[in-house]
Amino acid sequence: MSASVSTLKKAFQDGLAIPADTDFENLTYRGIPQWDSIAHLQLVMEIENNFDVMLPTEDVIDLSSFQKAREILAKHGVTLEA
Amino acid sequence: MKVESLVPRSGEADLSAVLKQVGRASSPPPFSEAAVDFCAAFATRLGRDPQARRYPELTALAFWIRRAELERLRREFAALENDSLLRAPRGLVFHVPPGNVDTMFVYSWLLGLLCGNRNIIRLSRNRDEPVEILCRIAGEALAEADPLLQAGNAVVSYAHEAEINAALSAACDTRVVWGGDSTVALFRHFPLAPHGTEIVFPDRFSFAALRAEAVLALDEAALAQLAEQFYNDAYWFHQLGCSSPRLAVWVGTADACRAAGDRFFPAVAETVRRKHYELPAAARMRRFTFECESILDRPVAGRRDLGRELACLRLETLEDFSREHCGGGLFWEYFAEHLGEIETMLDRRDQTLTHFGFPADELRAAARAWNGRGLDRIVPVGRALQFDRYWDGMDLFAALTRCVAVQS
Amino acid sequence: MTFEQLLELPVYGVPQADKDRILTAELNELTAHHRAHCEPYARLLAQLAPGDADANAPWETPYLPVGLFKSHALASVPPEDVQLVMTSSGTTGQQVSRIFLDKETARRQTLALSRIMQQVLGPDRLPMLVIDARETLADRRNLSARGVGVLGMMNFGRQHLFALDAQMALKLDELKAFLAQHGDKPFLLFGFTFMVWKYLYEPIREMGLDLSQGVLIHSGGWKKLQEQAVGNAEFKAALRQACGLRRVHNFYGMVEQVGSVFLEGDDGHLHPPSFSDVIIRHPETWEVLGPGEKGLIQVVSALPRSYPGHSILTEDLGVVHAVDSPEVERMGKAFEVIGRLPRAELRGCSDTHAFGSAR
Repeated sequence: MSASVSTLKKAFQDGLAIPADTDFENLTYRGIPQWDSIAHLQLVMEIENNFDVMLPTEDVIDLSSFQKAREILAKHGVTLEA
Repeated sequence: MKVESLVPRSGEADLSAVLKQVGRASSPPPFSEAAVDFCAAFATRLGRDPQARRYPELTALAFWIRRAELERLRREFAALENDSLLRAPRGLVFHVPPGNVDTMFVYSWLLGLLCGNRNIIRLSRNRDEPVEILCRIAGEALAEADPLLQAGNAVVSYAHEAEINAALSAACDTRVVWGGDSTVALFRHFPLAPHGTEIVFPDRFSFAALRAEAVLALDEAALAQLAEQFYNDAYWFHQLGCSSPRLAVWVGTADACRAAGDRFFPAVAETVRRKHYELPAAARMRRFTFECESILDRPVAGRRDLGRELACLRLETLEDFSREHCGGGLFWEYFAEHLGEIETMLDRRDQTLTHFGFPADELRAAARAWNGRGLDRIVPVGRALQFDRYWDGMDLFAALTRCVAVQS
Repeated sequence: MTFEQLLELPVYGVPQADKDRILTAELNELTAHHRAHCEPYARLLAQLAPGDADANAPWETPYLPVGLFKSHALASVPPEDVQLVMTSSGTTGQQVSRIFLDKETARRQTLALSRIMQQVLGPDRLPMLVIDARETLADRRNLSARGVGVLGMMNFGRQHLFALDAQMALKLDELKAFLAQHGDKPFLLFGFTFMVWKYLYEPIREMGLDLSQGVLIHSGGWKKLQEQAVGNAEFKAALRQACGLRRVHNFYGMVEQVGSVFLEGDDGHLHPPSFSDVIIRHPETWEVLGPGEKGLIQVVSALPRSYPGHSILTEDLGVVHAVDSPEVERMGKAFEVIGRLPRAELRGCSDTHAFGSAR
């Protein structure tokens, strides 16, 4: 399955409650105050809902940056196109 | 007898009508598609609800009942069954959740529901905003769920009416009583049906064990993360959840323990400030009074005063350790040379040990060594409040179902 | 400064800066005294205020929470020197404070109270109406807070009449006889605020009695009257209209610091006497607040020697309106008590109060 990278940005935006003009590519867990342990749960739920995937616990823990999110999605068969 | 119905509809209801409706509904099999879909829909609505997002404990709940987690639970449940053993729902489960941990009624209810049971949940008359949010969202999700579930589940509220407690206790197949010793004792007055079973959650005590050297070795970012996880464990329910840590056992040399505490607690206090945790003024007053009483009544050998956010009292010994506690950001501290040292203070009230910095085999060995005394959960710092099917030493999947032996 | 010298200071005439300096010395002396003579207090200090450094200001004096006097017996004198144990009021089942008085502290309290009362009553003891029942004093060895208050105030009156019977009914005939005899010259009335309202004001409201020569001293808090929307202003207006009573002085005090009462002045505000003070703290951070800011009341007093109660954090809320105000003749602070800290139940897994009894 392929999806748009903007869908992932939207998931980050909604999950972490951050603005649309965020520098997504350089986002990291706890790198910004908004991405704390609770917002992280929101983010996981947004990604799962938007891409119709189910992330096991190891992926939930591993999801520590925007880049990681791409890799994890790829692992679940979702490729992102710009 | 009148009750206030909250879910599926809100308004006054007649208890006998509720009982008749829920009692006559059919039970779906455990982990039916309808039940899983309902829980997942509940999770999605809860996760996206702007009002709900103001409460971290509601986010944690939504996360716990999201589809990926339900799938994991379904697989775990399936492992309980085999060709000659089916798990069948108990039937009607009467839930008495704690009046004060807002999210607990949903965990209790949904576990019952996933196991295929019909459920009646009793909420108290005093309900905080999170409970109202949960009832609203549960109602919305249920309205779109399978009619089977709509008929078989009801959340009601009533005051202290003994007759209602008695009627529901007599009618149910399983009663689930949260709320600690006093609530358990109260409900023991209301007989169950002869075949009825009961799951009770009495008062518990929980604490953390941290290896001093491991905390000292953390860089600033990792320390902040540990502090935040500890904050989540301790402060969400004002330190009064049965799993909230109230004692921090430092393991290491006395110097390392002291240094680790000097580093760790200011970081926790900083997190508390950053999260804008609000301790009611009266609760701080009570904490201070409790601190003073403790200094006079217990072997207190040291104190940290980190202002409104946090205070620590270091105990010289854990002998005759009293588990009475005021909540609201007071931590006992104890310096131990080895993790095994706490064995003699453990008792059956001890529920959750949150740990940091110990190798897995040391934890397992300790759990084995302590097995006749206490502790039902040994989990990393940050997961104290993470609800699970294994709770208070029970497998709730097993407790909420019956075994049906099928031989061909 | 000796206690006698301290008492010689003008009760409401010491500017705040001087008072801070004088009280700092007195409080430091008391802290050291209690540390040396009350082992539990020393243990508390070791944790609450490590190091024996003196305070540089009254607000640096370590304080104890008022509730601690309920759970623990704190005395700085041996048991054989205890003359009187005072207890606070409390509803049945509630724990009450126990305050241990020896001869010296009891004497200090009496002298201090008398200095304060002279400010409004003058030097002479006046005929006195006690708005209470004689039965309140029945058990002298074990006085309630109300009993302590009544007994303490009786020192300032003579020819006392207890205006209520044991059922709290007004003894009207005796009241009329009292007024016929003393009503044309100054006389003293004393009672608890709520009782004055309910058992004196309400029965005589329509009777047209003349109490215009009376001086009413009352205390006990406004909580019950607030439910009827009666505050200090309404209270005074109603009494003035019903019976011509104009000189009405409320006071704020507590059994934990008897003697250091804060009496209402003509400005309608409460005033600490020279030997005690109030400090207002932020309700949550406990930082010291300035005038105009509402917060928790800490009371400090130079009186208590037989128990470590010279610096207490109360559960009352108040606000300082002015310091050394030129508009009133009193130096020091002018403050108001707003009420109690709102109760807060923290939420937890174990809810003792969620269900009533099984019945």
